[in-house]
Amino acid sequence: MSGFSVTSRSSSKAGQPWYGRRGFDEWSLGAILTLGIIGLFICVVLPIYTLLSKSVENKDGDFIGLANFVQFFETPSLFSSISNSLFIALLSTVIVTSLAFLTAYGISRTRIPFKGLFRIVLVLPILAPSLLPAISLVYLFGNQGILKDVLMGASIYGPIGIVIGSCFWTFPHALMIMLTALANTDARLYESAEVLGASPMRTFFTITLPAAKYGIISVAFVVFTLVITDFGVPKVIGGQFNVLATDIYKQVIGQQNFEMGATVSMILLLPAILTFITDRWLQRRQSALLTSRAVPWTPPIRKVVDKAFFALMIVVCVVILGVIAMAVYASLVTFWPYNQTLSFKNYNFDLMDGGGWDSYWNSIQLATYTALIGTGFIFFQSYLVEKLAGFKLLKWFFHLFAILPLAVPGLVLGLAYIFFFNAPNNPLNGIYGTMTILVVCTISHFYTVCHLTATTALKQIDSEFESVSASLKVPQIVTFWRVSLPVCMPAVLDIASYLFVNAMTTVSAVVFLYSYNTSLASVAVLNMDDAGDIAPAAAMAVMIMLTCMVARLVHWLLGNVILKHTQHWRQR
Amino acid sequence: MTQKSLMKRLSILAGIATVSIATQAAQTELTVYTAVEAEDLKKYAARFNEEHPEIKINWVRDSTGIVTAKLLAEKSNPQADVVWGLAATSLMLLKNEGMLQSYKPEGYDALSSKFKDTSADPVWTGMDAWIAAVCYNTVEAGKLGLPKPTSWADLTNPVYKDHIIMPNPNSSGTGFLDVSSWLQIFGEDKGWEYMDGLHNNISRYTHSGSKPCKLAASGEIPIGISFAFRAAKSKKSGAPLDIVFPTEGLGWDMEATSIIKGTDKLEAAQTLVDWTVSKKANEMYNEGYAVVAMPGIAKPVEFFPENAESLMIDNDFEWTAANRVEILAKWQERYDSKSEAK
Amino acid sequence: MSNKAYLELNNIDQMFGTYQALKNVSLNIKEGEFVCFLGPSGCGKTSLLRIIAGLDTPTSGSILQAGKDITYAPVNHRDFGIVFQSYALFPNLTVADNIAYGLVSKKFSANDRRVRVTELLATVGMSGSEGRYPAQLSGGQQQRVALARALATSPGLLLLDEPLSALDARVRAHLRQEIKQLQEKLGVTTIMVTHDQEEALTMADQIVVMNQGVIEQIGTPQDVYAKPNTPFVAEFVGEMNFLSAEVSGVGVMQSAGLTLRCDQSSHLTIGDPAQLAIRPEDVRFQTEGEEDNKMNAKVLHLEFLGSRMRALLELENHERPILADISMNEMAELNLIQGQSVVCQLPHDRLHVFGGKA
Repeated sequence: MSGFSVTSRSSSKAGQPWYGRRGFDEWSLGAILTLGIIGLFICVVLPIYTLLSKSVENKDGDFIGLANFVQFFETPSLFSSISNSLFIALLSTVIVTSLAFLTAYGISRTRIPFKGLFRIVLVLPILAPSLLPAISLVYLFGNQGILKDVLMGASIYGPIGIVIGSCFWTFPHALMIMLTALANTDARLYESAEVLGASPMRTFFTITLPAAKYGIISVAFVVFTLVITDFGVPKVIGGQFNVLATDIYKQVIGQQNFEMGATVSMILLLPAILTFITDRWLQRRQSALLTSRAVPWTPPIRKVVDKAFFALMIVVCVVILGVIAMAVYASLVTFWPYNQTLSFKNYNFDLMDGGGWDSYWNSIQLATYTALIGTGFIFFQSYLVEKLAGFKLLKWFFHLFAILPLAVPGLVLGLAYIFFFNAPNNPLNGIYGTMTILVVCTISHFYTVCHLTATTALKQIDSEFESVSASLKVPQIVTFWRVSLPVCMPAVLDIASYLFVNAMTTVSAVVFLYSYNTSLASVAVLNMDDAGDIAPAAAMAVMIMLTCMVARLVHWLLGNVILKHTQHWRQR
Repeated sequence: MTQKSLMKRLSILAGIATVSIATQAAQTELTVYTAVEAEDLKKYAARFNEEHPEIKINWVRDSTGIVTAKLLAEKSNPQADVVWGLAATSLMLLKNEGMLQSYKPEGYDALSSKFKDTSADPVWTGMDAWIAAVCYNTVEAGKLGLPKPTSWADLTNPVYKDHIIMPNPNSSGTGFLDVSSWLQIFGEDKGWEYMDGLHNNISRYTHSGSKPCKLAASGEIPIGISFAFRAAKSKKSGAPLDIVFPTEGLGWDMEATSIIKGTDKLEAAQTLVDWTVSKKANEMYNEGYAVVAMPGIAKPVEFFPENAESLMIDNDFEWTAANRVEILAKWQERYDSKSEAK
Repeated sequence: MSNKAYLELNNIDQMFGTYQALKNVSLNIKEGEFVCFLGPSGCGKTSLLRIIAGLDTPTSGSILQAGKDITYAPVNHRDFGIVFQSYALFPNLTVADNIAYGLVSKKFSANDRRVRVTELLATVGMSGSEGRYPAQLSGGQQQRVALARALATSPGLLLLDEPLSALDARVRAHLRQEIKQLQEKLGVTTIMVTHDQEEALTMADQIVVMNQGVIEQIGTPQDVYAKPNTPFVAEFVGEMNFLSAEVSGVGVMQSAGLTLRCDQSSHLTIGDPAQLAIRPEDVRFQTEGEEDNKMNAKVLHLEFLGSRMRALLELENHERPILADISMNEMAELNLIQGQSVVCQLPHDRLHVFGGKA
């Protein structure tokens, strides 16, 4: 048998059909993947590159090396923004990380009641634009604030306000990462510790904390980046306390100094990239940790501990609800503080800056397009990256481009989009000032998390589905439609809802890109606050929050009612 | 935006060459950039459309700094057709960049010379004057025992420490006219000295020119340096405000109109600009502004002093425009960082 | 060897970077044969299967199926059904939809599909499970559904990638028989990848033993077991004792202090190093008649294995102890106990001789 006469190797190559070993199926999907890469290249890589080159150019577009950076570091007021930014970001990071750890611990490691309810309340801030807490703080602690005396004469306008506001809106992000980190502890470790007679304290420091280590580090980096790149909160409540993010805004909007804006952007990119690299590194470490199968752990009854955590939960929830309630109340007061009768006067947005009710409908439109187009594009591209055979180099590039947006703050991306898409020699400059650029920018901005969500879900389905269907001569796209998509439906809904909510609440990227007929609700909040119409700004923020709540409710209904019907295969 | 136009844009995105399907509608649409107060925009458009229903105005409204920045950003690919209601100092900046279309509108000669671009090929036309004013919240000032200021100099009195808000000249046209007027009233050195003193009393600088008055109206701060139009509006809406017109003289800027060079709807743009200097338009400006471009039109406006025009300083716009960058840089260096100066 | 090969693999090489996963693999498979690729993990058996399926492309070499060159044919241009270790059943589709999955594209009418599904379910012994979902089935049942799905389109070739390794021992033994019977009934040419020698021995018509990217031996289960070509095969298939030795004469080997007679080995000359190998069950204790290769041994250890007893023997004049399996019947007569001395024999016709050092 094995002694079969040797056939010439070259003759076998001659038998290769013109399309190679890939069928039409794979080639066309490969072409779509290529289009996806080109799309990401245009929407992420090129704008960033343009921004980078702007930072080393003068107003006339001549290359001047690092002169802009030298100028930045020589301007004391600009330079002081760095230390301000660092201070705010570090303080917020410490506060949010510890609070998130404690609350996540309360949810996953204690026996307190109402965990589901607490969880819902704790993530509420994610549904509101980051400006909402800042506006609310004005009403709580401003000069006419109802709790002004609590500050004992200190002003809310400045670092105190920025830190509280930042903590409020970054907290849910931190909590969600922390919950995941704490969810993965092996009961067997706790049992061993108990058998070995370790004290609860010792168990905490030797098991609980180390297991959550990567989660904690990850949270710290994420919060740090979110805070240092956010300009909404410092803009509203920062007073004279300048931070890097508001500097960019001022350089560009106030002084028309685009080159300096680009320069500050590059500086802002540094912590973001550092975070990004650390996070990538951690993820690799963490996934190695989680390979073994853990036994779920049921927390013991610890009366004192449970009571303490219950109290903590109550306090945190009251603060969150209080901040939200204050914004809602303020939006309903006719003329704060002199006419406290309730009315919807402040919801008459058409008389204010910011684009009126049109901006609200524009936001709905943006969020809907972003959710539909974004989810479709991201999920299908992730599917191709995960499940299409071959095209290794393309996939590598795709993954790189898909991860990149995580390292680019919205403010930087928005600025990059102006430079890139408004260049007269760019054939795509027709989309400048349209809804399209807002949709493209928003999808790009939030690409990474969606891509990773999709990838994670896709990784969980059997890698042999495509091989099986190919062997059954079923085109891969049919298998995508009949199997992969339905199986990943929960993840698809997550992505859509994530995109919708973020498109509703985001300010940072789109603030540079909206135009007369595409003004947005979130930007309107900023502009109304800017013009001193704080109550209407609160009203619009409340509208955004309510809309996001409705979106989440729809998501929940789809996930729990409709999907339950179509996903009963999940039950045994 | 409609689904159809989105699809169209997407097809452009996909690199598919599409022939523009914009059918020439009966209505011409003009993109008009403005810093006019938001609540007045509908009125402006409606009055204009009474006479010219064939032209539709698409407003892009933002504060002076932002509109100026936007226009500059879009220099190589302008989006606006017309600017209607932007600070003249900003328009001068754009003029220097060669972005404005020279045009002498019908009725140009009838305007008072203060409101005209006096160069041979005028590019902008003034509408109305926009004058500085101080909003003083009687209720909050009463609680804090703050006397009512009457002059700019009064505001440096240490009793006002942390009780004054003014707009940041880097982003607000109002802020800039304040600063440039102080430099003209007190002279350069004294002017900066004055601002040093004022800075000690400033609680914070806002981005927008109307915000200080709105904050004063809501009691967030007792004293807000703003402009007369906003002050009158806030007082009218029931805020416990007194409007102070400092005795040394009032800085002012004018709102002006211009056509952006390169617009493909020049004819419609000219029609609009012609209307903006018309008698009817001036009467409309007068509903909010005490001083307008066409002589003999202005009637007294509620809460404005009758002698408003005489209180206005003799503003040297050429000097202001020429020194704008330096003034702003110097201002920023001195005051734009709390950690430094406070 | 065969007059008509259904599947021909010619000089297949597979490189992953600098690592050579397959080295010059050639193999012919006759129509209707059940072939097992057997070897430890990393031996290249799965790589070979994936090349046959078209999931990977060989670096060089060619594959012919039914006379047609399919070396570079896309997966969906080939004619095979496949069952993976994970079964890869579509979780959101019912059993019926899973089985009918490939029938849709074959332009079966809905009714034909239903008939075919019923028929296949009957074939794999799962009639009436049409409406159930994979998650509601046991591992063995999922295995059957996967098999039915792979067979639904009546492929010319059935590929099984470690199909039984995820099941527990009892189910595995049972399914082994069923798959074999089904294959015989349908007559479909089948290739199964496995690392379990017992599975290969019980199911295959031909076993292809692979190691480090090369084929060590191709043969029937009996051949492979009784006449291993290489020490690797000898050790991997079944149990084997090895003694290093040197050729000391024609049909005579010297291993430490032992002189052993064995069958003439053609390619070895006197002085060559060699390895002698014997299976534990071939060590004899009832030694009437033959006198060759007898020796004294000491029972170091006894291990009860249910149907037999395994003894660890220390041979006289040899430092390397060997294993011997003794049936319980024989044990009843011998009555061995630990520490006892006994006479044993390594029959010359059961001694395997391999050239070279261990």
